[in-house]
Amino acid sequence: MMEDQAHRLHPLTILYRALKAAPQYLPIFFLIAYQRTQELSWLVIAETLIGAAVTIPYFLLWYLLFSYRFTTEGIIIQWGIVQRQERMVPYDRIQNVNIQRDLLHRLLGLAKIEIETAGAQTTEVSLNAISVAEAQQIQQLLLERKGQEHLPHSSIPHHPLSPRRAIPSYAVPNSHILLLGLVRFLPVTLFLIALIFQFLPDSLRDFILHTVTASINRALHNPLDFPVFPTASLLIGTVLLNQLLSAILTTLLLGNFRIEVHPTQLITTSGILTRRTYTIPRHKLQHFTITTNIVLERFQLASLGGATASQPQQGTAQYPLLPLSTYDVIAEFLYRHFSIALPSTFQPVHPRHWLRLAFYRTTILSAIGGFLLLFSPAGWILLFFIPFAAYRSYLHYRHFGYALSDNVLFLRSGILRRRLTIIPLAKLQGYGGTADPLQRWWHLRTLWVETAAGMRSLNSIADLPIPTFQSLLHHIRRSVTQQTASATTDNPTDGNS
Amino acid sequence: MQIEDIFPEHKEHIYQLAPEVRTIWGLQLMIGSVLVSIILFVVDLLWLPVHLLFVGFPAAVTLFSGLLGAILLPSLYYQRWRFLILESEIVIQRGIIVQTITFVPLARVQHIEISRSLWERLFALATLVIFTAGTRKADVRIPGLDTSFALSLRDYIRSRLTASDVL
Repeated sequence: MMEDQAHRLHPLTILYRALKAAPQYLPIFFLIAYQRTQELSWLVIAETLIGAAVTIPYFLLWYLLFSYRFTTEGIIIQWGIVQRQERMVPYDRIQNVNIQRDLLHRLLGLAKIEIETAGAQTTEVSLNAISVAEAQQIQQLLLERKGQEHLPHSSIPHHPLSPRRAIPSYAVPNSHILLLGLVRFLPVTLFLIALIFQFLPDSLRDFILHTVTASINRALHNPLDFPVFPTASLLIGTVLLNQLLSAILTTLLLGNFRIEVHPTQLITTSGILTRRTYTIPRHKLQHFTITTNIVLERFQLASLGGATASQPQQGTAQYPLLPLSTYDVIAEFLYRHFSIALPSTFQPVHPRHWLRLAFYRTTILSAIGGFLLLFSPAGWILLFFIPFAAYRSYLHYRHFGYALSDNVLFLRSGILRRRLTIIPLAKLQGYGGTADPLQRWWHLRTLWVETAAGMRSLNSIADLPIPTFQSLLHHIRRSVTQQTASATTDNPTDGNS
Repeated sequence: MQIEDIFPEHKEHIYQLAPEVRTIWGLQLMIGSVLVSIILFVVDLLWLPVHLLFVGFPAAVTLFSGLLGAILLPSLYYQRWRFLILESEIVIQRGIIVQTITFVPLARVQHIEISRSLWERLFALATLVIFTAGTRKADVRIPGLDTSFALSLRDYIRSRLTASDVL
């Protein structure tokens, strides 16, 4: 690649952008078509043609006016039709270079290259789209120049598309991803089921609705004559459909999963249609969670996720690091790359924990239920749930456990969906204790910790006896003060993150 | 969970808030309860189908309990509020019903803010707000500090700030 020579994107970019933009125009098209149904249909065609006549030159012009070139200091891009813009990114500011290929990219043999820098939240430069060979060449070039400029980072990250050195990597078989989808609950799929229900043939939909309303009516008139079979079949059908959709969605999102462990960062690649590559700098990972459920636990299977202060784009709270692998693989992964040894035993909290939980839940249920009873007998339903709430509190106590090693805190919780939260003490932003009146009476305390990634109230050990609480607090405090002290003396000028 | 029990060796570094903060809290509670009782009274008068004798009843109860709280609660809350600033961390104790103790390592502080509300300016007080990258609990507000003391605390914390590589 020549110095100071302006390059254009791949010519197919015009087609790519036009196809990518097409769905945005569909609603307008339908609107026009709907208004014109009574009149001549050639008007619709004419309007579409006019629209195309305006938009296609736009994409052509955009393509002609976009250029990028590599100078000795950095990469320069120029773009814009009316307002011309130019941006220069020095090589030493480049954090990582990602290549992304969605389905359309792959059909056209293109790739999108994203250059991320330290300062900006969003991608600073993206070349969309260029040919795959060119993308790899550019990535190689950028990372080499970055390496020259920035020697302290001895390890140059690279991409799965251009393997050059032996990097530890893990692949998760698609059968595991499919299994994960089959056993997990995705709320989105309920919405999809409702959508599918809309498009069922009228006779079938009426039949289902009629059956449901008829059985509800019968049950209301005579509770003993509860229609067990229709209700059960409806429930089972919904669950099966839900799990099927969830399996498909999960496989599309996480299929062909692969993670590479580089010295300074983790690179995960996943997705069947759109391949997503996440580059996660290692020191940005805050805490880990291992999630499993009562079924998967029997097969020694669990998923490992890592939380950072930002969230991945899918809207989940965590980056999947190992979706559904065996315990052994996860334990080995954590031990080898993060020197975290999973504990074999967990300490329980004080048995009065479940009593306290049950007390609060009973109070809330009876307050709401009693208030409802003033207006309708439906309040009894809430009061009926009190024994179940108490039993659930007991189960919560039974499954809760904590373990504290030298510099990691482990919290295990959950009844049906089980979760192990792994919190390195070096990542704590704050910690402390609370005591409510009941706890003061019983001489118990709650210990809470918090990292920069949101933790959704899974961050506390409730109801520890006071001596245990104090020793845990002292341990955490000693560890945190030591680690912050050593971190500041080791690399006082490392603000490059 | 007394801060003095955890740090017996730092007893002289444990601070309380300025006593005037009790007056501010009391006045705020009083004004709040008066406003709520006025709203309750108007709502009762216009929409509640009860005898005219009982119209003022909920408003009166609210006003009475609010004023009682305004007299009792601030001093209780003030009694519990302690804080301790060490070389490497800030420790705060507060709360009447749910008592809390919070530890924030100074290496985790992102930025510091001094805010002075209208009430606080009347009494020459200031609030020191310490932000961390934590989401809910690990941000800390210390209300009711003498302005000069708040400024010196801020300068002390600022001098202790170091670049942390956690984020």
